[in-house]
Amino acid sequence: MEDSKIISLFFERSEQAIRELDCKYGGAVWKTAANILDDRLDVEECVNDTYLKVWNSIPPHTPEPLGSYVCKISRNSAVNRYHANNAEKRRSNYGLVLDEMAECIPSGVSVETELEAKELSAAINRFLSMLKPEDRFLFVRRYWYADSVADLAAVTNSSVSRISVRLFRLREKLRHQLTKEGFIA
Amino acid sequence: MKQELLSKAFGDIDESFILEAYRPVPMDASSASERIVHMKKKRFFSLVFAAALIFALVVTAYAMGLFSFSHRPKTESEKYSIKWENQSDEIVFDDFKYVFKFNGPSECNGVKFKEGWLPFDPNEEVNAWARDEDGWRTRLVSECTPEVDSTSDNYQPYRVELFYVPQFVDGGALFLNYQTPEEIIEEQWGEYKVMKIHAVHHQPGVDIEERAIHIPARDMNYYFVLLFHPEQGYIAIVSGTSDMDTVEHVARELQFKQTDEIIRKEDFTDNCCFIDVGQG
Repeated sequence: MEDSKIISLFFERSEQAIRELDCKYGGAVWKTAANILDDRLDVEECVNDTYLKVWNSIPPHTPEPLGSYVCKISRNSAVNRYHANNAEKRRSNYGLVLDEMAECIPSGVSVETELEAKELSAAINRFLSMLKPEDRFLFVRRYWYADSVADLAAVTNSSVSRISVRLFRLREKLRHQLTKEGFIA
Repeated sequence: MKQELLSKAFGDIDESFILEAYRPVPMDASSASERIVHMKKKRFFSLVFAAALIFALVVTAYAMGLFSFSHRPKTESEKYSIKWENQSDEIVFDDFKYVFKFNGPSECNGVKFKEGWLPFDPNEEVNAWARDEDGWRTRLVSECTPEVDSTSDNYQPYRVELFYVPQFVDGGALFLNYQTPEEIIEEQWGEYKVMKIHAVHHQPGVDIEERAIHIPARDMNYYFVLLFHPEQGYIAIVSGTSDMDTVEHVARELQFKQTDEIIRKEDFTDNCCFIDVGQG
């Protein structure tokens, strides 16, 4: 079903909207949450939270495109749940993603406030805009969608070692970019 | 708290990038087709230099000097592992294309270099950590300069790296990771055994209907000039995405000096390393 028709169902407050949303984007919503959370029950709750939030936000919102909108809600819900679960004590895929994110940030950079996080986010956006599409795809899939390196290797018909090297290069490049932009305190 | 904000910073990237990674990756179809035509022309040169390649494959040892090296395509079962950053597991490299093996003592002197010619000035800020106060370097990259479009295929026009034979003795190896050599030309430049390699990275296409990802297959060209000093035991690799003339010009104008530092086999975590023209 087209996104506009699904959104119309939400506006009509028809429960069929959730079924159609799940049918079209359920896999992506589940995968986004499952990349971050290890526990299946947590993932199920996160997916349900996502649908509830979509139900509550449409209307008034009419998100375009719908796919990335629901994935964003799923990711935010999963990240919040991950941190609420004392995630730093666990070694999960998302823990590795966080470790890699931390590697990108020069040691002198402080990310202690919401404002600093926003500035860093803007710098990451500038960095992403300079990348080749394939590299941007890899970076966003790894650090936003939290895909495992093995998944990325499979998706791109590549090997784990090759993807690891490319991600390493991208992190190095981001680190250079942040240094160049004066992010070192 | 820091992790949460870091996670938020990465989470708040522009929605267009999120969408792009969810939907098809935009590609420049015209440049992809031009590249294919270019490669067909290159096939001719591959044939012309086939004799040189065969020669390269059968020459397996050098008798001069303290250090020697041989080179060949990867054997089917051959693999090497490298401990990657802070990960506890080793990453196994089993899909590389070409390998360089070395013999000799387990130590040698360190070396530094100075460039004599570059197509444009490097970004000294980026290269600062690998340069001493007299301008001698241990590494040089061309990224982060106004002349380089990091989104193009010519994203690293020149790059110079140093390796030492002691790292690779006793079963180790230096290997060409992802690019398949199409031409290998061996020359002797004074004291240096030189290999000029034109290699191609055959990037497979990606076509996944259910995730709406469609990336056409394409070929990318890489150029390497390997300078091996058999008596002093170091290998300088000049590489780049520009063209062989540029890379060779950079290589020919390099000056080297030995330092007092002793490089030992034990100094290295891994007995192997890959050659790559990548960023960083």
